[in-house]
Amino acid sequence: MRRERMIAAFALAGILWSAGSARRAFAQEVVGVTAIESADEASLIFELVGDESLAISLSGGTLAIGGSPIATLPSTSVFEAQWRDLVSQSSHLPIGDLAQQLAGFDIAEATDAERASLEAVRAALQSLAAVDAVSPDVPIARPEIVMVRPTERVRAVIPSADAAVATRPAPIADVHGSTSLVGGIAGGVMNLLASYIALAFMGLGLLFFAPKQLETVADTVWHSFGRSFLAGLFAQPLILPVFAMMIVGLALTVVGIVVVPFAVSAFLAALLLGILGGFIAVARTVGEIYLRRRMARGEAVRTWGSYRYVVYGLLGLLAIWLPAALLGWVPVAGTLLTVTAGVATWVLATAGFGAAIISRGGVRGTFVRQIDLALTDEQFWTEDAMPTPPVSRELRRSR
Amino acid sequence: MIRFSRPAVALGFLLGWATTAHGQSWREVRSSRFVQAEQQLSVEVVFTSGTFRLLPGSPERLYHVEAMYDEDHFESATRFDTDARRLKVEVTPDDLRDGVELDDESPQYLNVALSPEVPVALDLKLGAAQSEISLGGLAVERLAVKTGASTSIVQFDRPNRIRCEKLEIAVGAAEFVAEGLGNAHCNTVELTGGAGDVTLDFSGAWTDAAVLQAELTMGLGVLTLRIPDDVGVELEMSRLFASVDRARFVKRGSHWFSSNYDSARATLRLHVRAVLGEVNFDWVTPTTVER
Repeated sequence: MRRERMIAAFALAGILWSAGSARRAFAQEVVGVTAIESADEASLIFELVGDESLAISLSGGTLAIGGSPIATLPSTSVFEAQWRDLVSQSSHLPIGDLAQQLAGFDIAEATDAERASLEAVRAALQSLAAVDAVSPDVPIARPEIVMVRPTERVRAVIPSADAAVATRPAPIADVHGSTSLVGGIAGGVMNLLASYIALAFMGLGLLFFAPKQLETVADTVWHSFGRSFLAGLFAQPLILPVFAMMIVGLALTVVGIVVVPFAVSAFLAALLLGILGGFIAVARTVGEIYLRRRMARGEAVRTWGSYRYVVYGLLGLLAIWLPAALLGWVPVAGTLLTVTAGVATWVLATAGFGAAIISRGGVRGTFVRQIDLALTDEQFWTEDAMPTPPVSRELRRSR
Repeated sequence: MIRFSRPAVALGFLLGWATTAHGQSWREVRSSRFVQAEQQLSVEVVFTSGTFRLLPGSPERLYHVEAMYDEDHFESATRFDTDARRLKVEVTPDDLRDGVELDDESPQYLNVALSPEVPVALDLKLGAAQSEISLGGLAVERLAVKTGASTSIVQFDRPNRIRCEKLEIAVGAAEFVAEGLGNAHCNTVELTGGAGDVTLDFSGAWTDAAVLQAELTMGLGVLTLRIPDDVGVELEMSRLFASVDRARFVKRGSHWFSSNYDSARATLRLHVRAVLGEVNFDWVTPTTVER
C-alpha cells in the first residue's frame, strides 16, 4: 500500500515537472520591459531572450500586437483606461508579479471590440514568462577601506607652513637671493642679450614667412604712430573680455567645450604674434629710420635687406633697458630707470600692437605711407591712359 | 445678449495665446532590464534639458530608466546592445532650429538607476540640465561627465565597489560639484573647466598609501579643491593670469608640496593649468566612513 502511494507520488511529481518543462519550453522569457505613456499612446514593449521583442501598443485608439493592428477602440473605452493603469504600474512590479498581473488582466461588460482586444492581449501575454535575474559572476571585491579618523597622530603631523619650512630644504628662491651685485648685473645683461637674440630670430622668421605683412605693419607704425598707439591702448583692456566672451560662447554649447583648449591656444598665439610682431615691426621702423639717416649723410651702409633694419632697431629698442640692467641696483635711480624703460617699451609695444590691429595683421595698407609726388610721375597720367590709377588720397585731394 | 468688455476679451486672447504657446504634450517612458550575468555595462546618456538623476538601483535590475519629455520638440531613445552590453539613453531636441528652448528648469526629467552588482563605465553628456549623479555603492569602472550650462553634482557618498580607472569631467559655463572623490578610488581625475564654478571634494575613505593623479585645467572661473587634512598634496602649476592659493604649500624644486606631505597616509598629485580666475584650497577634517 505504501509502495503504491510512493509510485503515485513519483508519477504525480513527474507529470507536474513535465508540465512545467513544457510550459517553460514554449514561453518566451522576458528580460526587460519598456512602458510608454503619452496623451494618445500607452504601450508595453517586452524585451525577450535572444534580442527579440514583443510590443503591445494602444496608439490613437488602435491596439496593435507585434506591429499588427488587432482592433480599433473608442478613446473613452474601459479597456483603454484599464490598459493605461496596467502600463503605468508595469515598470514598478517585479517581473513575476507583472506576468501574473498581465495574465489576470480583465474587464467587466466588455464590448465586442474590447473582448477581442482582451483575448488577443491575454494570448500574447500567456506566451511570456518571467526570467530570473542572474547575478554576474564578477569578483567585485570591496577595496580595502580603512576608516580615516582624525586621530591625534594625524593631527600632530599637520604642522603649520612656517614649521614645515624649517624641516625642508630651502626653497629655490632663497638660493637665488644670495647672488652678488656683479652677478646680478651680469644676469640682467645676459637676460637682455637673450631677449635680443630671441627677438632677432623671431624677426628673421617674420621676414622670411611674412615680409610684406611686417613691412605694412612697420609702415603703419611709422606713418600713423598716434593712431596705432591709440588703437593699441584701447585694445588692451578689451583683450580679457574678448577672451572671456570667446570661452563662455564656446562653453555654452556642449560641442564647443571640446574646442576650448584649441581656441585658447589660438587666441593666445594670435595675441602673442600681435604683440611681438608689432614690437618687431616697431624695431624695423626704428632701424630703417636710423639707417636711412646714415645713408642720407652719405655713409656707406652694407645692406642685407630688411633684416638689417630689424637687427639695428632691436638693438635700439633693447638699449633702453641697458641703463636699467646696469644701474638697477641703485636704490632710487635704478627703480626710475627700470620704470622709464618699462614705460618706453610699453608705449612702443602698444603702438606696434595697435598697428598690427589697424593693418589687420599687415594685410591692409590703409595707413601706410602715401605716394610722394616728388618721386612719381603719376600726376602726368591721364584718365584715358590709366582708367583706374592707384592714386593716393593726397593726390585725389590735390586734383 | 452677453457682452464682454474689451479688457476681458484682450485677457482672454492673451490667456489663449499663452496656453497655446506653452502647451506641451508630455510623454513618459520607463524601461528596465534584468541582470543576465552581464560582466560589464557601458552606459551613455545624452540629456539636453531638464533634470537628470543617476543613482544605484536594485541589484537584480541591470538598469531602470524613467524619462518624461515634451514629445513635440524632443525625442527619446533607450537602446541596449546585448552583444556590446551597452546602454544608450538619449533625450534630445528634434531640431534645434525649431526654436526649442533648452532650460534646466524644464519639467523634463531623466532618471537612471543602475545595478550595483555590475561594473559600469559611464559616459554622461548633459546640456542645459540640472543633474544629480549619486554613484556611492555602485561599481564604477570609469566615468566621463560633460556638462554645458547647468548645475551638476556628482556624489560618492559611499565607497566605490571597484577600482575606478579614470574620472573625466568637462564643465562648460556651469556650476559643478563633485563630492567624496576619496570614495571613488580612481587612479586619475581629469577636469576641463570652461567658465564655471567648480568644486572638487576629495574627502572620503582613502586607502592607505593611495596615490591619486589629478589633471585640472580651468579656463575661466573658480576652482575650489576640498582636501582632507591627512592627504598630502603635490602641486604642479601652469598658469597665466589665474591666482592659486598656496597658503599651506612649500616649494621644493619646481613643485609645491602641502605641509603634511611627508607624513600623509595618501597622496594627491595635482597638475593645475589655469588661464584666468582662481584656484582655492579648502582643508577639511577627514571623513569617517562606515565599512
